[in-house]
Amino acid sequence: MRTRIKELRAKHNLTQEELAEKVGVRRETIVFLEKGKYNPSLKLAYDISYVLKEKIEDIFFFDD
Amino acid sequence: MNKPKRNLKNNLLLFAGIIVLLLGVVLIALRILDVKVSSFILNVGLILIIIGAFRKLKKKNLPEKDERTKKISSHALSYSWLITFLLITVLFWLEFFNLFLLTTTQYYYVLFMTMILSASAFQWYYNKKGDVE
Repeated sequence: MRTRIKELRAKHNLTQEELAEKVGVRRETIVFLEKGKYNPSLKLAYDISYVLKEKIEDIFFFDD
Repeated sequence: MNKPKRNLKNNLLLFAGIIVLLLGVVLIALRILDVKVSSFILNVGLILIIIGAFRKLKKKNLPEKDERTKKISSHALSYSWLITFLLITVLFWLEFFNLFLLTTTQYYYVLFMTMILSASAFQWYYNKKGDVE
């Protein structure tokens, strides 16, 4: 899985910790999401898309 | 968990730790119970204080656990249970055929250590990996 979280976080001038706090997860979870090593729940994906003001399908991409 | 609730939980943990530690000290001083039991109580108090202080000193306003860590914990515990189950089965058959005999205390110790170490090892591995998949 690939994500645009890092790019969109920079656009909104948010640190990993700030985004983590806004969506109620640990900073490490944001780190693993950005690396594509963790598949988020629908709720977390929705919360991230709400904070980053983008559609879920414009943030998360599945190669297969 | 929100911040005031977490603060209250940490304060309670610290308070409980201090009470248990003092209880341990009093029990050792007055020799009411066996010194091993009193030392165990004292150590429990010390551990509670260390955990409470560590959590209180963490300045970040981030959750202690989230969906990822909960998922990792539940998988780690499942694998740990499976390993313990396999170990019990192996030990049972070894004893059944008189190949390997342990005392009851040794069995307790082996199972106790297996459960703790395997759960910790799986948690460490999946935390490092990021996800359980």
